[in-house]
Amino acid sequence: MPKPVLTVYPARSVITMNPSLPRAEAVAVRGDRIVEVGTLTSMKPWLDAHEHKVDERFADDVILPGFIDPHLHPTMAAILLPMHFVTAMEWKLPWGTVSPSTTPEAFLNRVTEIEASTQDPEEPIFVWGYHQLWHGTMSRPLLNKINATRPIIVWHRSFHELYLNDGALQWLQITEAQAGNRKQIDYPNGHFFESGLGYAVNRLNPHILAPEKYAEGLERLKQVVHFGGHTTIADMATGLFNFDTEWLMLKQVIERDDTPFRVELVPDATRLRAAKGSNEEVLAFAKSLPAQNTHRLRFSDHIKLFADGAFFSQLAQLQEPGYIDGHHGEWITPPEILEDAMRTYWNAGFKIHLHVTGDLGVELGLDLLEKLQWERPRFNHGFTFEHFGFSTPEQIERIAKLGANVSANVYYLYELGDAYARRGIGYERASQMARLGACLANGITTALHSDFTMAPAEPLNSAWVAVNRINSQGIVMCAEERITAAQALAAITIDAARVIGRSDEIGSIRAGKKADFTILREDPLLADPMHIKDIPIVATVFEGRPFPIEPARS
Amino acid sequence: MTPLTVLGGYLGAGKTTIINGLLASLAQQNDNPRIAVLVNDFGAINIDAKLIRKHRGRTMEMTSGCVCCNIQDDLGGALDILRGESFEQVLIETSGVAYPAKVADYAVTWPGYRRGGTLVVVDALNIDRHKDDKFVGPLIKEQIAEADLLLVTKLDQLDCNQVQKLWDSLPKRAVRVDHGYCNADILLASTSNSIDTSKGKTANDHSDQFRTLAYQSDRVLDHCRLEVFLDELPEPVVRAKGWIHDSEGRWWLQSVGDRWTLELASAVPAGTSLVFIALANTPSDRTIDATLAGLEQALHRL
Ligand SMILES: [Zn+2]
Repeated sequence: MPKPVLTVYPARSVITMNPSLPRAEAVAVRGDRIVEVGTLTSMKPWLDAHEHKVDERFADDVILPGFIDPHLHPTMAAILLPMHFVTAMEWKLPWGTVSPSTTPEAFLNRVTEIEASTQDPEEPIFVWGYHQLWHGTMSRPLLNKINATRPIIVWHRSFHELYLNDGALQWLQITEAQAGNRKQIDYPNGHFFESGLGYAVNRLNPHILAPEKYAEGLERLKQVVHFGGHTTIADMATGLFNFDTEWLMLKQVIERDDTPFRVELVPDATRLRAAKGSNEEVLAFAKSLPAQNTHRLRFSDHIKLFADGAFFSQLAQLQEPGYIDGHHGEWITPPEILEDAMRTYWNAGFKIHLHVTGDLGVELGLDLLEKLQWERPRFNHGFTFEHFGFSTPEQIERIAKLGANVSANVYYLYELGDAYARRGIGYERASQMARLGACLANGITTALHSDFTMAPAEPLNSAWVAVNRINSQGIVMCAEERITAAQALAAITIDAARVIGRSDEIGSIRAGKKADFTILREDPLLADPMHIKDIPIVATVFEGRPFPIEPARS
Repeated sequence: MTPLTVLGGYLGAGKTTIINGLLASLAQQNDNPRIAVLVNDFGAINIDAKLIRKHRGRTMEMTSGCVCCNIQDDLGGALDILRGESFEQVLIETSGVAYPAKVADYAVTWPGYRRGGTLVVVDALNIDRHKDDKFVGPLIKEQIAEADLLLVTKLDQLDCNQVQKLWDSLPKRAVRVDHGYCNADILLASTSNSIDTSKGKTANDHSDQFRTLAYQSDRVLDHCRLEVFLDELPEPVVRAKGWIHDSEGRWWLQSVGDRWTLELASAVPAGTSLVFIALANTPSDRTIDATLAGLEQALHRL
């Protein structure tokens, strides 16, 4: 079989993320691989020796390594994305940018528009994004005014409460007799929260988790991932809902020729342990998974564990002095159980990704890692602190000395920085959340992730927050922990590749690596740092194949 | 409405042993109420399957849901399933790192259930170490602080001085549990139908740890006085339960340790029928009699 023709992409600039050759003018690709990066002149020996064509489509643009989100949840995204977004913050989605609805009237008007444009009168309408801070009070009568018979379900932005209209109550067969006088169901207002929420959710689940909905959601996720400029994502908890279903659906929807990205799958060991009974059985199962790998879907020797609770719910475990109101965070996994699990995977040579949100969670991870290093030292062990909300400067030093990585959701600072300063833990510690400057100063491999749907799946947006440390009120928080644009780009490319164990193949542009590129209209290293998130993404190239990106409708 | 008891406490305190002990002792007396046990733990579930079968009961496992959202709710799902199966009692064994009072608040507001008490198992041997632990100290203190009643295990492994010291340090009413045996009437919200009042004991009580008093009346109690009476239940009374007819309606009473609740009851037998269980061998051994007197007052001064 003849080797495929070389394709040369000249560009305004190529940012390689390879320190030995940081900038170039063109990249030559054969099949799914890069054969040479440099100038048209420097790559002449290749071009003289092989049939080639010069593809000018990116000649005015900037070529970067394909973006990598090392922590995202396709399953959660698949549930959320079929819903209508009516939100106080802007969301850029492939099918349109959601412009902010910041008043009660704007919220109801938007829901009314959605209702009016939905043809089938029986089709339920799911809305996500209500928040009382902007949208005022919500109630069953208000939704009934829009339409009392068609089911309308309004989710709070946090997912921790919801509202139903008459149609939805009837559709879900929630009657006054059953639910009328329960404390956490406000039946007249159709408001369900805490256990009341669980009650409604258990009735909604058959609909939102139905296979066809799930498939539709994954289709949308594919668009979102492409739209954000990714060519690789990691599913950082495969089995979060149900391992077999998720794996089956991923194979059906993602492993297709039209999918312009690959997925690294990291099994959720906490969830699996409940199903399998013991760490040893989960380990054996995890070891068996790579045999099932497909072209785009890959299991390897990475595993996910959980320490403390959700950051958005203020369940992060904190060291002294804790939360202002005195409440405590939660452990998702009891420390002893976590230790047993970590030891099992550590001794088997696995790369452990530990979900930590608070500084006490980080402390637990560090104590356990130190213990395991003492028992059985490992180098290049790939242990990664995931999320990394709160930490202390002293912990950063320990992370560096123990050889661990950090994968951070820096968007916390943007969305929650102001709120947590006022109503969480106070300004000092809130302003220092996602302490990334210190990580880089200590030489820690540091990546940025979205944990989508916890943050927008837009690497440039994450990079923008990390570079500017600006919160949703427009205020800079802790400028000392800002990182440079170059460091931020590394955190969404080569360092993200390191964190998921694939830096030998992806994450930078050099001869021999996969031809994965993200094409930008402007140069992020020369742009005004405040503009980084708005740089248009023109296309991606996945394994040598260009996939253009249409700008979103407003 | 099915009563729901939550049994919490840190890892290794003996929650599962207590549940197995309960199932075994009930089965021995051919008193086999239908009991469902919900277990939220990390790994193998050790509830004795043979015993559960004797109670035509069932064990359900829950895993903690998705950490970021509430789309998955195993506990609620389980409660929905169990509601359809008419159990007499549901027991939830929480995971060692759960806040049992929070689980109870969640579960008892689920349609079809009523409060049966939050009991927290305290590991006498390890409590001091656990309380000072950097990672779980605050959790364990909060578990204890929010419990209705404490069940203390492994006391037999301490000497007398240590036992006294521990007992003095406990912030609330506590019951001693030896070798996993805990009186069913302490654990369950339903009233045992076999109270031998002449002995001051229930059929379930094999030890001299408790004195039991049954109270029955056809007369209507005064609601305000009843509330005062419940607020002032003497310290050794660790449990009171049954149904009440008072000036404001008919109620289920659950009093567990420091907390009592009255829940509106529709389908209860007529009159008032209550059981009080108090620690025996305390300096105030006469409290049961005093309790009865208080109740008589609540009744007569209507
Ligand atoms: Zn996550």
